Amino acid sequence: MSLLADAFRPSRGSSLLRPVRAPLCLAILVQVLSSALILSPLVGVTELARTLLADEAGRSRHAWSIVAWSVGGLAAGLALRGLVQLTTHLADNALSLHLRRRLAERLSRAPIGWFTANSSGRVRQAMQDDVAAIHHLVAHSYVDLTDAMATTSFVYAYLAWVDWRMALVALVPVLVFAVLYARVMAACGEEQMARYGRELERVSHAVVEFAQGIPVVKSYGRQGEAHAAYRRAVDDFRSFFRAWARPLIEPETLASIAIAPVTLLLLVLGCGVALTGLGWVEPWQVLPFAVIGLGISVPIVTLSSGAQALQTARAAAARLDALLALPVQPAPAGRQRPAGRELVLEHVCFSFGEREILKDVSLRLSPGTVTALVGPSGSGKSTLAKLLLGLDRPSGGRITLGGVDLQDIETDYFHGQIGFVPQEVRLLRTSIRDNIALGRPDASDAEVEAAAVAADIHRRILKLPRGYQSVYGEDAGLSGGEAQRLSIARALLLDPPILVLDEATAQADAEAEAAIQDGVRALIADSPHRTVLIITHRLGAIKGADTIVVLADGAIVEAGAHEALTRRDGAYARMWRALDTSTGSTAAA
Amino acid sequence: MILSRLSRLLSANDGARLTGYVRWSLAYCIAQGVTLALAAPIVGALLEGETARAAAWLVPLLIGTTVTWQLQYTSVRGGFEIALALLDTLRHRIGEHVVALPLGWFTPANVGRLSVTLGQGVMDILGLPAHQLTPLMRAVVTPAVLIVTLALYDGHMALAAAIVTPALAATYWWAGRLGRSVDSSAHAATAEAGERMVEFAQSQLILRAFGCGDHGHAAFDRALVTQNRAKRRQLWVVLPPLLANSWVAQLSFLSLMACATALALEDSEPHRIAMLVAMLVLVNRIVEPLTEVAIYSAGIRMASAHIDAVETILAARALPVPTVPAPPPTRCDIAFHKVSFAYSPDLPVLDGLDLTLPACTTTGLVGASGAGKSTILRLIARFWDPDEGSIQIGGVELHRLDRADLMSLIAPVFQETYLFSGTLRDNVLLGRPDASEAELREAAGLSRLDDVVVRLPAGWDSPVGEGGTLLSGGERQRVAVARALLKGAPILLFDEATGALDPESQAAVADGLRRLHGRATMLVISHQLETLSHVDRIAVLDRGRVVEEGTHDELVALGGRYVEFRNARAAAEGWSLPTRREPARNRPG
Ligand SMILES: Nc1ncnc2c1ncn2[C@@H]1O[C@H](COP(=O)(O)OP(=O)(O)O)[C@@H](O)[C@H]1O
Ligand SMILES: Nc1ncnc2c1ncn2[C@@H]1O[C@H](COP(=O)(O)OP(=O)(O)O)[C@@H](O)[C@H]1O
Ligand SMILES: [Mg+2]
Ligand SMILES: [Mg+2]
Repeated sequence: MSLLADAFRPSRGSSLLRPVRAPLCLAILVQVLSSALILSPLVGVTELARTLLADEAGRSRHAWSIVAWSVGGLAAGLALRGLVQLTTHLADNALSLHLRRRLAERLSRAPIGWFTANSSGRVRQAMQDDVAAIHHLVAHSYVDLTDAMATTSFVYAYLAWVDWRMALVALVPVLVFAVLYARVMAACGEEQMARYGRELERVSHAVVEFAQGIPVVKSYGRQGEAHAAYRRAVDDFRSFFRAWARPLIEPETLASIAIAPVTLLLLVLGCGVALTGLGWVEPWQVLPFAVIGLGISVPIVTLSSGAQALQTARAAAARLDALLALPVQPAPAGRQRPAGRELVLEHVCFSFGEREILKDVSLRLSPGTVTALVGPSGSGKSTLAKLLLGLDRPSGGRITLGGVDLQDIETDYFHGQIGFVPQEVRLLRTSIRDNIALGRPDASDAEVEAAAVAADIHRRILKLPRGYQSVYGEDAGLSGGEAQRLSIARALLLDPPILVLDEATAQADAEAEAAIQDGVRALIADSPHRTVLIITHRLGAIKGADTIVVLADGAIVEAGAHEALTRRDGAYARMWRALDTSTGSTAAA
Repeated sequence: MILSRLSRLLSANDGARLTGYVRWSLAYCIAQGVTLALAAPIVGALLEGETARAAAWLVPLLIGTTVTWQLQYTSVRGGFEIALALLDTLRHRIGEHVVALPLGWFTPANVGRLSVTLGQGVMDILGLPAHQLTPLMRAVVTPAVLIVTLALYDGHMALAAAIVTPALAATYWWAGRLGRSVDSSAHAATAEAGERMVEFAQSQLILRAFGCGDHGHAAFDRALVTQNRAKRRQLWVVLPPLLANSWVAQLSFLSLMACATALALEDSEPHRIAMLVAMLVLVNRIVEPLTEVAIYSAGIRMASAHIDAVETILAARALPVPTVPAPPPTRCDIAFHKVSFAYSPDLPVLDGLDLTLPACTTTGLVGASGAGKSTILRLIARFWDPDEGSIQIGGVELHRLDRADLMSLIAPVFQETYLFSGTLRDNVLLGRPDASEAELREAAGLSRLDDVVVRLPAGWDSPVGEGGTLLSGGERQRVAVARALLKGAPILLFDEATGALDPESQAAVADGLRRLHGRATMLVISHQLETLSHVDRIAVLDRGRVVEEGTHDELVALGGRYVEFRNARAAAEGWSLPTRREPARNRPG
């Protein structure tokens, strides 16, 4: 009964099941009734046999009434069972969606670093496979286990009532089964199941990388073989699974033989013949053992496979619980809407683990200015941009917008204030329109098109099979530069007071870049109080910026206008010289 | 049907094993049927009070039981062995097939199906021989044997038992038909939702930056809801036949019970009555397995849907390979001759392109973004075949080369760098796992990866994260370049490979590549015209053709498209706000 108790105990697993606890309890109770009713024809058979064999008057009426009772009991039992199945399946169906959404919501609030530290395969494993394991628990395992236990208890109670000695003998195979199966169950402990989940997750993860990195796999993998990491994951899974499952085959097979109908038949008939010979039991008493007693092998087998499913579900529930217990990024403490628009970094520090990426960075981005951020790749420019976006929290210092700490600003308001073009273009597999309108799903078509025009991608979109309705990744394929321009359009659509462009035109050709610059300029011409932060390596494009900030190794080493920095002959001037050497001449810029 | 499909997934050797397993299982089912049938004479004798006769019948029962045990043991173990054989080969076989498929195959739908199949799908297919085939056979064959033996005892009873078979077959067929009709949509919805989950995890940065962090974007939630609906529909469609099946099977039990009652009430001969009652023991042995047919067949239906998916994947056609591959070329010049190519029929990307890259020279490729530069590189790697025209390496048509030979000739750096989770070292060594430490360092030096290695705390053993997300964009590009250099292929293809590097690193890498001059045939795609000033030849791509070709100086002298590109950047105003006056554009130094 301890297995069933799990459903009710406020233990780890059951917190996930809370929404379905009521229907589940009801289903379990009804199932007990149904199991009893379904046994009625089997009991009926014994009674029928006694009636038929007895040579009494009115046996005909009696016999038919037994048949009628069996029919009634069975029908009621089956109807109830149908009801139970429907209830649990529907409850589970609702639960699965609920769990998936809950996970999505929780993960959305986890620190962004969690996603870089964990594979997307893990997310899918949890949302898909682990939730499916819970499905099995809710829709099948509990009810099946109840059925098996109720049936077995009823059968043995009835058999003991018929003859307790034979009932004891009929119990022997169950005991043998239990001993053998305990070995199987011991191997399906929490640790092993967790390991199984991990290994499967690795395969899942390897498949994601295999498919997404297919160009690299094809040209760098060993010839004629699948991706090496995939093969390794598969091989590891295989050795794990073999080592785990192989030793279980023997006890599992023997256990199933111990409980097989032929075994039970031999036992009860052998014993029945002997006891009848001794005169200890009446011949008719042997009958129920042969009819019902043999029937316990099915519920016992159910019991065992149900117990395994329960273990699987437990492991899955543990993984889900771990995800649901992820630390969330603290929600904004206040709901402020600052009046000012000045973005200020004060002594900002940031580290990934031990490594300090940003060191005491102070910077002021005022409305109506263009600030350019340059510096060696890996110096922390993108990290700085992410902090400005509130995607990560500084580990020291603070960032304020209009004097209010980013943490205290109402989230929705804040998202409307900043438009961001990340260095890694990421388009979703939705229509081109929805991709552009990601931050403003309610934007009108005209606004979406205006943003696309400004990012110089409108004409290309019109050439797609279904124009703005084409789905990226399905009927719309874009070149790297085109995708990047779409990503710019996405930020421009927000029409944000603050615009952060992280190497946004790195893949654009010169003409496209000029067009984008003109587009952005035109779009923001109407309101001069924009704040723009440009991260770029194209020094030629930022000479006009109000401030050029040079970041090196996470610290600001220089800041000022082009002229001033050039005169200083520091890091910035060095970068220009590098450009000149690679041009190899003093070609006009 | 299912067996022959299963055997097609196995190697020839294991296929023979499958046949053996099926034979043993059949023998087991028959033996079990015959053994169980012995219950009737024993119980009959007991009921008649003839204990001695009953005891005599125990001997064949004992023999039958031991034979059944033996056969059961053999067949169950055989099933497990086949499952393990599938485990050993299936994932590898699919992986090896998939890696040879053209890039166009990797659509979201296909990738989704691939992920589901390689994860849970394979496990479900394994479950078939391990857990489901034997019980299904038992559920069908044992009752059949029992009905036959019933006929030996009493024709009426056998008839009454046999009469339900058509009804059972009908519900079985009905269940299968209904099930299959909803399975495919449920499977597709599951695969789609799985892909959306991966997308959700990988797009967190932009989802959050654009304020759709709470639940992911609309398409994600829609996929979850669609999956949920599909499952619910599946439930409503699958559950009724499942219940109907157990109703019909139980009905047969009742009809047999009624039949036995009617016969026994007509008869007054004690021997006949005893025999009829004894037959009721067998009746339950017939009915019980029948009630399970639907359950097992549902499992089998599910597994066979996964087999469908495997077959679909394995049926996808790889790009045609020569039956007798041409010997790998010794010269490594590349020639495009009148090549036309389009991703979608109405929008040609390359249109009669002629281009020659002489062996051991460096060619720069310039063109607007979307002009088809990356496409040229993909065609060289034979990720697609051109629609028209021919591409040759060393005078050999690409499609006459063995895929492995071709891949060993080229080392591409793609525009979208993709790294696999693992360490820096793993990723660089991908192209040549047996490279020496010195070679590794040389590649790192040329690509400036050594700077990164020094900076990262764990050096060469730093993890890069899924897709390389733990590195900055420029660091990732250096890894990709190092990987290509280490491979030591005679053809190097760089697609905007240094776009995310700062000018200093870019110059250094360009320097490094220059040192390889004369050792490899190189194609360099870049928007940074400065990086191309030293290459042997520059080709300018426009409207699907090469419109200009020559050295930097020649092209400058020509004053055509190339010069337009140069001037576009120079003329661009750069990043500045429209309201501000342009500062003077002086160059330092
Ligand atoms: N999620 C992360 N975990 C650990 N290190 C990271 C992570 N993201 C970036 N880094 C490291 O931080 C440094 C700065 O990265 P980034 O800000 O992207 O540089 P860039 O100036 O090129 O934009 C790099 O050396 C990179 O390896
Ligand atoms: N997978 C794809 N499916 C459909 N169209 C594509 C695909 N990849 C690229 N294209 C289109 O083909 C054209 C050439 O792309 P590409 O070769 O990537 O250009 P680029 O010169 O910028 O490298 C572009 O117009 C692009 O939109
Ligand atoms: Mg960056
Ligand atoms: Mg490209």
